[in-house]
Amino acid sequence: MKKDSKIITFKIKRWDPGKGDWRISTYTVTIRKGMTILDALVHIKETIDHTLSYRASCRMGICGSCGMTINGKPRLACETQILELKSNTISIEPLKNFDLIKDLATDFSLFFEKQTKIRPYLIRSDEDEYWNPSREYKQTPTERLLYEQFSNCITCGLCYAACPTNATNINYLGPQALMNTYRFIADSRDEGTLERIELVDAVDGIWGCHLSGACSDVCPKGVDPALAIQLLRGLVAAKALRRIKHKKATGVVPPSEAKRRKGIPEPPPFNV
Amino acid sequence: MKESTIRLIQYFTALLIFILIGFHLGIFTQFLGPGYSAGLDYLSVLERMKNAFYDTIYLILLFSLLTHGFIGIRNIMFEIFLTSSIRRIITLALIIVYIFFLLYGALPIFYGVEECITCV
Amino acid sequence: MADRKRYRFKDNLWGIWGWYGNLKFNLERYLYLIHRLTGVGLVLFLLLHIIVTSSRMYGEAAWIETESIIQNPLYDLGMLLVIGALIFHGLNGIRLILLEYGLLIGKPTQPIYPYKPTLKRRTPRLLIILMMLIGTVFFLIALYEFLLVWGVLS
Repeated sequence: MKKDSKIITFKIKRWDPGKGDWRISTYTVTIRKGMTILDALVHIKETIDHTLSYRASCRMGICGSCGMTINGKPRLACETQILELKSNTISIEPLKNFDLIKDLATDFSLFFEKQTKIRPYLIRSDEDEYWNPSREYKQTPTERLLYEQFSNCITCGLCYAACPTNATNINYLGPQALMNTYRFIADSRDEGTLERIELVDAVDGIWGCHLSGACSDVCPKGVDPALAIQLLRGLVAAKALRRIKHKKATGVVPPSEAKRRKGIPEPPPFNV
Repeated sequence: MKESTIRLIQYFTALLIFILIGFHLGIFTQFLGPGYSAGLDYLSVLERMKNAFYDTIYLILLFSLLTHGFIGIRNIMFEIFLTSSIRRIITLALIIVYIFFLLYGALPIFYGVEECITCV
Repeated sequence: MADRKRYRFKDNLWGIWGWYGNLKFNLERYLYLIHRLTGVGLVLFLLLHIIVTSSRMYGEAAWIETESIIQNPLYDLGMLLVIGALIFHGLNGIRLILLEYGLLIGKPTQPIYPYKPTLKRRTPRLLIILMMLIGTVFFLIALYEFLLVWGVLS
């Protein structure tokens, strides 16, 4: 055996939709340095057990499909190095607090329902410009920085699985949806602040958060939902104390005043 | 009541409790008051009950402690029980217990202050 | 809304056990758990405290009788525990108020790998240390008082 390879036992807790019960399968895999949990799962499915089901797509932490409970903590299978876990037995379970489909695959429909509930798009009063845009909306880099971090979310659902409020309360909007609410409220192009605050001001909304910070701890993209939720909570409280006004969004960028210099030819017409 | 109002009450009572509890416990230390054993002496207690200043503080403390505590219990209950009908029953039950303890706790502040056997 | 009956949530919901969460999470999560436990404990103590102190209104005899019941080392030890819980709950509550309204929690930044959530940055962590230091001082004062009562110190 080579120096940087290791024999690891995988204990996979699988959901059997036919029987409606759990079963645990154990596989032994020889691991090389650099292999991720997802690589091991692919290896198991190809060479040991063809019936193992899991969901994965991009293998590089972009699609957010392969969230699993690995050694008791929600992680992305594709971004977790096996040797970094430093244990000879690795337990893999489906992502907690989600509905089950089969084995390690979980159903995200309730998660996305909550995501759509908070209206994750720009709400604006200028209907004409909104539907027939003449130019892009104005936004400075400083204004963009206020929400840029939160727009990196890949909806992998790890925060939702780590959240202690979601552990008992399936109606709680969850860190992801609340973070997304703040992402749109903080956007200078958006005018829906008051409407969204009305939506999240409930026991199962913003007030279900108790700042346990587990969501930010597990987030694979550094989105920091806990920060967004606290900033949003400040706004909700300010609204309750009547210290917030309707936000007027910025307009479109003014037409450029620069003129084409002489001797530079016109660009060719668009062909797509 | 709106949820944000309830939570603001929760935070304001928390701040109130933080100050008043310090006062309440301060009586029972050597540094600020008569001390733990001496502070629990009947005459000492009675003297405090006759003082309008202490009465006010105890009343505010009792009210804010019960409000804060019961809102907290309600929040934990609401996270475990999700059905709105069960939530309504929980709210009702908690309000009844809350009012009972509010009255029962407020009684000794006013009642029986004169009935003192060994008073000089 | 999706068909609620289709959901087999109970099989995969972490439940109340998830508040504790395998001891694999960050420090704040366990502060949250202790905050909750001490909160429930303190409410129960408050109700007991109201019932016990209400004996005062029945006169001095009743008060002395109650005192004789509660004046034993075990009750005092419980009292010390309650004071500890109170100090923790109060100071952690102040920390939560300071953070929850976005006062000391910081600002959104561009995430640069390795990511560091705001709760793990300097100010929130310093708040925890400060909270623990102040709590220890308060608890030592309470302990001193009880040692006087028990006759260990004079």
